[in-house]
Amino acid sequence: MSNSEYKYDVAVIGAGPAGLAAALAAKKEGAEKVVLIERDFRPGGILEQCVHTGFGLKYFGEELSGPEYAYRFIKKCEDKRIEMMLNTMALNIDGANRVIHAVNQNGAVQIKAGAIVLSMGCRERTRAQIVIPGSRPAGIYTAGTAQRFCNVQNHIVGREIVIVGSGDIGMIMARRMTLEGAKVKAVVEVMPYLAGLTRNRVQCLDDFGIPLYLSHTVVNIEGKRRVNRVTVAKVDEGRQPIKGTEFDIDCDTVLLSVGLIPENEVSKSAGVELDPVTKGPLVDQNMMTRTPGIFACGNVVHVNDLVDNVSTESEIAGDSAAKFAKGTLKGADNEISVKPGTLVRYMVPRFIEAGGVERETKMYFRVTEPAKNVTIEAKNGEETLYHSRKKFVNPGEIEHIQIAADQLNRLKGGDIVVNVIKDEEAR
Amino acid sequence: MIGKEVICVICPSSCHISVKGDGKTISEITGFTCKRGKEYAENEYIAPKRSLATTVKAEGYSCPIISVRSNKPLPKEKITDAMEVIRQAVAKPPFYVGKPVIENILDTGVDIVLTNQ
Amino acid sequence: MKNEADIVIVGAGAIGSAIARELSRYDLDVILVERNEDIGGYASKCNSATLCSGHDAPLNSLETRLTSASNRAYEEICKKLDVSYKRTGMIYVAHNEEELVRLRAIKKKAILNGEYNAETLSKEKVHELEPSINPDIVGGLLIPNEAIVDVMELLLAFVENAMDNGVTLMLETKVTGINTDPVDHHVVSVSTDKGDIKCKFVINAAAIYADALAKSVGFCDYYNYPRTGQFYVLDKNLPYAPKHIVVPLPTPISRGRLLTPSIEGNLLVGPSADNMTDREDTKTDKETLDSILKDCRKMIPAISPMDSVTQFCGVRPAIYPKTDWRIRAIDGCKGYIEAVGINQGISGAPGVAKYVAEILDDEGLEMIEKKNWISERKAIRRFAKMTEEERDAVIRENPKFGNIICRCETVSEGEIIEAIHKGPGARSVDAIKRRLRAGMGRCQGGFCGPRVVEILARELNVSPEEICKNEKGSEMLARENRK
Repeated sequence: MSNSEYKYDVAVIGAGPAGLAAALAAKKEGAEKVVLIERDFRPGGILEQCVHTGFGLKYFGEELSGPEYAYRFIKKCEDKRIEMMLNTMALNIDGANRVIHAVNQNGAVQIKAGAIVLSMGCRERTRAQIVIPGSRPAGIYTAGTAQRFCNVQNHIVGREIVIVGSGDIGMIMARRMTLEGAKVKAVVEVMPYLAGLTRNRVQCLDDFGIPLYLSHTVVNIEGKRRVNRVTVAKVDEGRQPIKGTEFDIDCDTVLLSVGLIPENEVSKSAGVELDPVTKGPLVDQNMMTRTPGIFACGNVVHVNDLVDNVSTESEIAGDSAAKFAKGTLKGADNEISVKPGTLVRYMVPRFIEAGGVERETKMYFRVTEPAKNVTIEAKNGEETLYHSRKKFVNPGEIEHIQIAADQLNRLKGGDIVVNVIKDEEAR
Repeated sequence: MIGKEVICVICPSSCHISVKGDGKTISEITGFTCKRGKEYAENEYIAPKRSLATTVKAEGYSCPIISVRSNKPLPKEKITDAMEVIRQAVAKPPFYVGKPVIENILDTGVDIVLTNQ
Repeated sequence: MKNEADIVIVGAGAIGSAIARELSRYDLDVILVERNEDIGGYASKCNSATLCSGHDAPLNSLETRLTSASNRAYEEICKKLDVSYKRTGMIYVAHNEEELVRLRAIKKKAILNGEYNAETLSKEKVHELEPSINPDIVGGLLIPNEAIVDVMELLLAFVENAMDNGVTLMLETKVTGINTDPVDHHVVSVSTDKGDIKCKFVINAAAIYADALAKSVGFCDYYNYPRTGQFYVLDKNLPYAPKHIVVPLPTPISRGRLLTPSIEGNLLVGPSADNMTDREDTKTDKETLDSILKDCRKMIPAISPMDSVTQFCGVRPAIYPKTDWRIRAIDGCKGYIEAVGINQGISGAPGVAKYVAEILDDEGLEMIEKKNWISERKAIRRFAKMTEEERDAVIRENPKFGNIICRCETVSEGEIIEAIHKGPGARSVDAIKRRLRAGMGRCQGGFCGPRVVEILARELNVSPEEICKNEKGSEMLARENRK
C-alpha cells in the first residue's frame, strides 16, 4: 500500500460552486479538517469557463460573472484554511468505510473521511445519445466543450455554426461566438418552447438576429472531414420529423446544447442509490444519500438553473456532513418518501427522516410540461402540508415549495406527494 | 414615428411591450403589467444597454487569457467596437478581481475589469 | 523519403499489417505504405471485432483454410503481442422450425469445414447460456471457436512489431500506380504522391482501392465497391448483454445483424449491409439504425437505444465477382502479388500473411530468416486496468500518469504521450481514441477533447489549429482567439 493516506473530518469531491459552499459550511459547523478534491488545475469548477454574468443576484444581490462568483467562495476557503487537492481525480469510493481513492501527480492517494460530500457536477448529453444520423466529421461539439476551448484554452472551434437545443449554454455560446466573429446561423429546438431563459433568447439570439426554430430538429449532418452542412426539419406533436419540411443550412460547426446529466460514476462505486429519473443520488432533507455519511449537492444531484440555489443547497449538505462526522447529526427511523405527483417530474429531496428535520425544508422539482395558472400542493394522506398558486411553470425553471420542520417531524407514515394542478383539472 | 416591440425579461411573464415615439422621446407605451417592465421597455427604446463579458489576452497568467467584463452596462450599439478594443488589450500582473484592464472604454465611462485572478 | 526497398506493401489494414509483420522475420527491406494518417485502413478499424472460425466459409476454399488456421493461431499470437483476446463462442438463434432446419445445414457445413465442436442447442440450453434471449427462440447452434479481440491493439501490434524488426511505415502516402518494365513487364517501382519507390515486389493489400491498383499493372478481373455497415455501440456491463456473440441466421450477402460483446465490455449491435457508391461514405441514417434495433430486439428484447453510447459506420471492401480469396502472384506481371477479395481480413490475416510469404518464396525472392527476430511486443500499460499499487508505482516513476485526461475511460496523460511516440504514433484525436479509448466513453470526448488537442499539439510541436480529428481537412479548431 502506498503511504499517501489522508484523514479528514469532511472530504468534498469537486471544488465547483457546490463543493466550495459545502466545504465552507462544514468548516463553519465545526469540522476541523476539511478538504476539497478537485481534478482541474484550479478551483471554481464549471464557473471558471462561464465568463458571462447572471450569477449571484439572489445570493449576493449583485450580478457577477462565473469566475467572480466562484472567487468569493474560493477566497473564503483560503481564509478558513480549507485544504485543496488540485489536479486530483477521485476514481472510486469505498462507501462502507468512507475512503476516497484518487490519483494525482504524486501517486495514488486514499482519503479517509468522517463524512463525504459528492459535488462532481454533470456532463453534457452527446450527439450520439440523441441519435442524429449522418457522418461523423470534425466540428461537432457540445456547447460546454466549445466554451472550454474558447474561455480557457483561447480557441474558436468554428466559423459558421448551427446550435442544436435552446438550452442556456447553447444560447450563451451563440452570443459568445458571434462576438468573436463567428456566424451563428440558427438555433434549432425540438420542443415548441424555449428550453432556457427568455432573457437569454433576447440578449443572445434576438440581439444578434440569430433565428430560433422551435419545433424543429436536425435530421442529418453532412461532411467528410469537417461538417459542411446540416439538414433541419419541422417536427410533429410526437417530436418526429415531418417529411417534406427539410431544409439545409451550410455550416462548419454544430454545437449541441441538449441537456445535462449528473455525473455519478464515482457515486455508483460507493454503492450510493440513484434516482432513475434524475440519475442523481436519492437524498434526504440533509442532502444525505442512502449511504450513511455520504452527502451530495449541486448538479450531481439534479441539474440546477441558478448557482445561487446550488450554494444554499450545498450549505445544508456541508453543515450536515460536519454534524455527521462529529456524531451530532439528528437521525430518525421514520423515512417518509417525497413523491412526484401530477405534472411533476422529480423531487429533491426524495425522502425525509421525520423526527430528524432540523430546519424548514425546501423541496425542489421540475414540471413535465409548461402550464399557466396552477395550484402547487403537497399532501401527506389527507393533510395538506403546502399550498400555493403560480401564474407560470415550465420545465426549464426549477420550482420549490417549503415545509416547516415541526410539520415534517409530526408525520407518522405514508408519503408526501407533490402535485401541480392546472385550474381546468381542479374542478 | 418609430415603434419598437420589446419582450420584457424582468420576470417570467415575458410581457410584450409596444413602445412608440420619435426615437428619442416616447409618446406611447402599452403592454406592460408592472413598473419594472415599463422602465425596462423605456430603457430598451431610448438607450438600450448590454453588459459585456469576454476574455482578454493575459501575460504571466496560468492561462493564455483571463476573463473580464464591463463594470457597468454599455450602450448596445458600442458593443462591436468595444470588442475590437478588447481584442488589442493585454492584461499583465498583478491579477485581481475588479482590476481595470481598459478604463473608460470608447469614452463611455465604463471600465473593462478582471473577473478572475 | 525512403525511395527503395525489396518489397512495398500497399495498405496498412489487417492484411497489409500482418504481412508486414510476417515479412519482418526475414532479411528483407520492407516498406508498408498507407494513404491515411493512421494505420487500420477502412474496414479493419471499424467493425465488430470478431475473429471468425471459418465455419461458414465456402467448402474446400482458401478462405476456410486460412481463416480456420488463423483462428487457431490467434490465442498465441495475442499473447505474444500483448493484445486482449477472448474466445466467447457464437450462438445462432432460430425463431421457428424452418430456421431450425436451416441451422442443421449450417452445422453440417461447419463440421465439413473442420469445426467439429459445433453443437446443436435445445431451446432450454439456449436460454440457460443466455437468459436475456427472446423466450420465442426455439433452439440454436453453438460455434465455440468464434472469438473477440481488441482490433486496434492487434493492428498496432502487427505494425509496431514489424517496425521493431526493421519495417518502414509510411503514413499519409497514397500509392497512385505500379510501374513495370516496358519489355518484360516486371515490377520496377511504385508511384506515390510523395515520390516513387523502387522495388522488386509489390503486395496489393489495398482492399477497397485494390482494383484501381491492379488496373495499373493491366491485370484486373474484378471490381471493388463499398459495403457499409452501421452499428450501435451500447454501454458497458448492461444486464442484458450476452456473453456469446449472438447471431440470427445469415442472409445471402451477410452474416446479418449481430450482437457482439466487445473486449472492453460494451455491446455492439449491427452491422447493416448496404452497397454504396462512394468509397468513403460512412454516414449513418435513421431508417437503417431503426431497422438494426428492430432486428436485434428479436434476439434480445431488452435492447434499448437509451443505452447507446454512440453509433458508427464502417466500410467493407466488397468485390465482384465474388470468388475465393484472391491471394496470388500474377503470371504476366512478375513481382506483383495481390491479397484481395478478403471479406474477413482480421480473421484471416495471420494465415494470409504466411501464405503470401510462401508465394514470394515461390516467386524467387531470397528469404533468409533473421536470427534475432523480435517475436514479442508490449502494449502501452493501461492505467484503467492497473491496481492501485501499480498506479502509485507508475506515477512515482512518471508523474504524467497521475494526470487523468479522459475521466470516462480513466486514461492518463502518460499513456497519451506514449501513444504519440510509440511505433506508428498517434497524430490525431481519433488515433488517440483508437489506441487508448479516450473519447469513447459516455461523454464522447466532451471532457478530454480540449485536453487531448493540447497534448497532441505540444508533443508534435505544432499549433493546436493543425490538430485534426483524423485526416487532413478534419481540423478540430478554426483559429486562435486572442493573439
